[in-house]
Amino acid sequence: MLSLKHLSKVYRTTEVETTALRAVDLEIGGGEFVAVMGPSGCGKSTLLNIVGMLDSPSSGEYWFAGHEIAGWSEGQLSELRKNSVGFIFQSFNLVDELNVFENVELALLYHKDVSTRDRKARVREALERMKVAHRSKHRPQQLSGGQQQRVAIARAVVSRPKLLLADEPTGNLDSATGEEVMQLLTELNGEGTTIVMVTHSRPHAEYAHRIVNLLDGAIVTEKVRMAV
Amino acid sequence: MWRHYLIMAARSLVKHKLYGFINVAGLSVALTCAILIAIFVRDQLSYDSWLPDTANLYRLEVTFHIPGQPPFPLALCPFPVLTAAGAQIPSIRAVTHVVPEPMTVSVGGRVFHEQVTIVDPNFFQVIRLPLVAGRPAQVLEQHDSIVLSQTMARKLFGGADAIGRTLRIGGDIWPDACKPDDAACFSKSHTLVVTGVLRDLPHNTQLVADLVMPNTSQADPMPEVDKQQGWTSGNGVSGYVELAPGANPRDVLSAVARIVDRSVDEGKMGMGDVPASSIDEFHLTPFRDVHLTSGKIGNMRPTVSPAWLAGLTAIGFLIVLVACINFMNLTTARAGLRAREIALRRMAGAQRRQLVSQFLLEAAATVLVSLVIALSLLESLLPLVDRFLGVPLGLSYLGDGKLLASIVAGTVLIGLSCGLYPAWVLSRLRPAAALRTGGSAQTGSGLVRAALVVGQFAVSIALGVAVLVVFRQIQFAHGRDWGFERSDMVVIRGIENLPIQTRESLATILKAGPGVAGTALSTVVPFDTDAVRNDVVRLEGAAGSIATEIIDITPSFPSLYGMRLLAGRLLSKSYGNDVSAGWSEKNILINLEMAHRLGLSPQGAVGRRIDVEGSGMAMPLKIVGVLSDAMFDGVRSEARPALFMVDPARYLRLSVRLQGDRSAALSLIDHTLRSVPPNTGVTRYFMSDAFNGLFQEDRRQGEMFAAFVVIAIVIACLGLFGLAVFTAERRTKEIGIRKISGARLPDIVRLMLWRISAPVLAANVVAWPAAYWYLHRWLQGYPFRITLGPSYFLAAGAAALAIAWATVYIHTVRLARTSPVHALRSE
Repeated sequence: MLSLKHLSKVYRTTEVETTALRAVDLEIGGGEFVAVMGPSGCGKSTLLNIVGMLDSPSSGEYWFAGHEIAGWSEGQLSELRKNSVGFIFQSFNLVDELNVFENVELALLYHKDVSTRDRKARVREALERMKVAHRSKHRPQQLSGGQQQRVAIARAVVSRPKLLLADEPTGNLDSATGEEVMQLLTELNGEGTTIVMVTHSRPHAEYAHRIVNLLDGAIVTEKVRMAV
Repeated sequence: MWRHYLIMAARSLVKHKLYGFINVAGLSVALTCAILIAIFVRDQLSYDSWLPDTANLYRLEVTFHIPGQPPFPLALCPFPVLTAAGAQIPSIRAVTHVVPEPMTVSVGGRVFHEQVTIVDPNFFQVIRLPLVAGRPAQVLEQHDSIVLSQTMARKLFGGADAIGRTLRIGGDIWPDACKPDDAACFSKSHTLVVTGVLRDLPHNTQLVADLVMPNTSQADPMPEVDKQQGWTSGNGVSGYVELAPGANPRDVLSAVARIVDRSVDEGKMGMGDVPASSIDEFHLTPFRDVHLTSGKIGNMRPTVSPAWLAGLTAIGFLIVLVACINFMNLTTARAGLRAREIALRRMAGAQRRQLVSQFLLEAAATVLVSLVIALSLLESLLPLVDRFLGVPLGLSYLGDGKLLASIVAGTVLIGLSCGLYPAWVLSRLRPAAALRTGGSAQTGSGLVRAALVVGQFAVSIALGVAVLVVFRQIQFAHGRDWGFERSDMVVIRGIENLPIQTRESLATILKAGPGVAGTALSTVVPFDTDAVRNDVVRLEGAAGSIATEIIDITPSFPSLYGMRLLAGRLLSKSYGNDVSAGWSEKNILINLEMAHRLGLSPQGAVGRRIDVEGSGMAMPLKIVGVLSDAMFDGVRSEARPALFMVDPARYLRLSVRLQGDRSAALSLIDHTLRSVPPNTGVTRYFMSDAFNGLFQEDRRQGEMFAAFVVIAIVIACLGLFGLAVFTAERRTKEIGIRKISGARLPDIVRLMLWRISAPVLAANVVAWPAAYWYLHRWLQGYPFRITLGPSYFLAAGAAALAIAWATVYIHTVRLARTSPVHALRSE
């Protein structure tokens, strides 16, 4: 599905040079569920941003679905991203001004090939699947944290992406709700969606097929759980 | 998609009420002003554009260049010059004289005082005013014909058909037209037959045409001798010229100059051996531009200066600019708050241009909402504005699709230009950065924002300086020493239509009445000097002549008007030669300027003799007294030479100074005036009204200007307040840290005030030179003007600073009072 070859990311300001990722080699196959772990500042989020095409690498190669996309323009990336990647965040990142339905709809808004009718139907379907359809007309701030994350997941999957990126999806949730979210992710993965998840939680990482440990921008260990 | 954008725009406006309010309120008020200015300017530019076939029509005007005096531009043209031009210049297709005269009109015992427009019989063929009855070539063919406007016809004859009805017209007796004791001559009137009805003219015209009568009529008061020989006198004549298609106005003017050179001997006028065309300079003003001229004396209706219209338009733009800057600043400043939304859209696949169009749409929507508010504001304001301007502006959407379309288009354009910079800033946000910082990324260049705030303040300060200077100048011109006392003065006009004895007995009766300090008869009174005589005099035994005004007065005039006697004595009935109308030597007074021109000191002038050269007044005049200079016309900055003499045949005005019991005096005046025949048109007015009328336009412009400037400043302050609230919110953490480190409330308030002061101070640097440059030029238009000292600039700058402080002070204090713990938690 995707492969990073000797990929590095360096942040430069006028005075300081910070290396966020150094020579990372990572291969993720279609349908895999990968957890990325490591202490704060080790480069987890940078890795996720690059994988999600929100950020570009300083050097190295990034192959996505058979294309080397390191030099692609913002417009091309945007096109690729909207059709293939969904995002879930720790802080949900729902738009306060939009209600639940509209927040989910946002992910399909820029898909010209999806008709309005189709779009509405898909949003309803996604909300029902995440069991928040009854809250369609509510604004995010009227929802509990778990409900908000379900809406966020609905938004991430409504465009039927092949790759789902989750940045500490359970970080702001209590343990019971966190478990529910992990169940949902597992379910999606079971249906064929590739998932890359950054987490601090060892138990939640255990849901993944493979755990990648990062330290100071480099992969230190990879643990493969064959049981699942 | 658009629906989604609109929902987003509306909710965001509602959620951030303060910023929404500042944007919408500022833009609404700015749009109201801009539309108001636009329709006012459009109205002013529309003057006479409704008249057909005016492309080759011009007004011929003369400017007198009397040596040693500033040019004296008239909107008028000497009667015989126009006649000769029409007869002798082949490229002139037609000319028509237009002379408005105040006359009395009587119909079946009812008497009206009306302005009658006296014209050449071809008038309606040259200026194609719309007739509802009668044909242009025929309505003025007969000597005894008259054309009425629809309103005038209704006023005089009720609803009935006016054609064929008769009316009597009289009044406006010229000096020397009647013998002093010929009462019948003074009360003569003429019967005229209505031959045509004119559609009421709209307000946007230079012409006055309620009653139009041919100058071939017996009722025309202008003596034939003035029509034939008044080569150098405006005599109230507006001269219209229709050129042949393709004729060059410059060639026509040289032909006019040749005619004048042939016909006028300036040597006889005391101007020396110079061609007449060097003294009487002629211009052709295109008919449609007549309303847009300024500084010319003798227009039928008030004109407007193009500079004023340009200034007003500039203010309209500046107000909109200030409101736009608010929008840009508040939108970009708060862009960080929308970072999350923008990032999510980008992740959902939004292209940059899609984001740009979203933000442009939001801007356009905000501006359109403001437009709706502006239009309703306008609806409620227009009646007030109409009353203030005395012009029915009106804004009818249904009748004026073009206007509405251009307003909407202009508004959308404003919205787009307001939205362009914010859209550019917002759409540039990098999604990863926006999400990492938890949705409050710093966006937009603080430098650009600071520059915009400085620009906004510079506009406000420059406008503030302008207002101070404009008002000071108006006040200065208004309150200057004119050289005479004008308070408590009532003027009675129309007495030229009374026999001479009646005029004098009126003066005597009123003088003896209660509440009257004194009376005087004269040809001219202050602020009403059209009838002044100009002539040329020579000091006995001297070589050169000088041009002078001759003002005919009764002996009491100088003291009644409080004019100072500098040397000699005043005139008095007890000296025969003071008041005699005989042919022997006559005693006169002169003013100081005349003494200077004659090369004499006031004392030295007394007892000297002068000869009047121009009009063939043969008698020698002896100076018995010298008066201080008085500027009667209220326009000029410098006194002109003047001589005062007694000539009972020429009095046109009776001045009555009130003292003590005003109401008794006024009822006496009214009672007395009722005893004179009603068709003479004798009426009274307060000199203070005439004086105020003189400055009414200046003051109205000043007030309009000030109102707009205040609005601009208020809008700028609104924006500043919004920005202050926003920066303060962003700085709660900084304030918390400062407080923990020991800063006290005054330290923090001082810090915040300094931050707001810096852009204001910087704005002065931009505003002062710009304001100086413009105002210096503006003041050049006033011969009598204030000096442009630093106080105006300092005052405006200080006021801006004070307003800025007041705007942010309360908010800053509240913020600085919050507990540091709370402040630190807010990030």
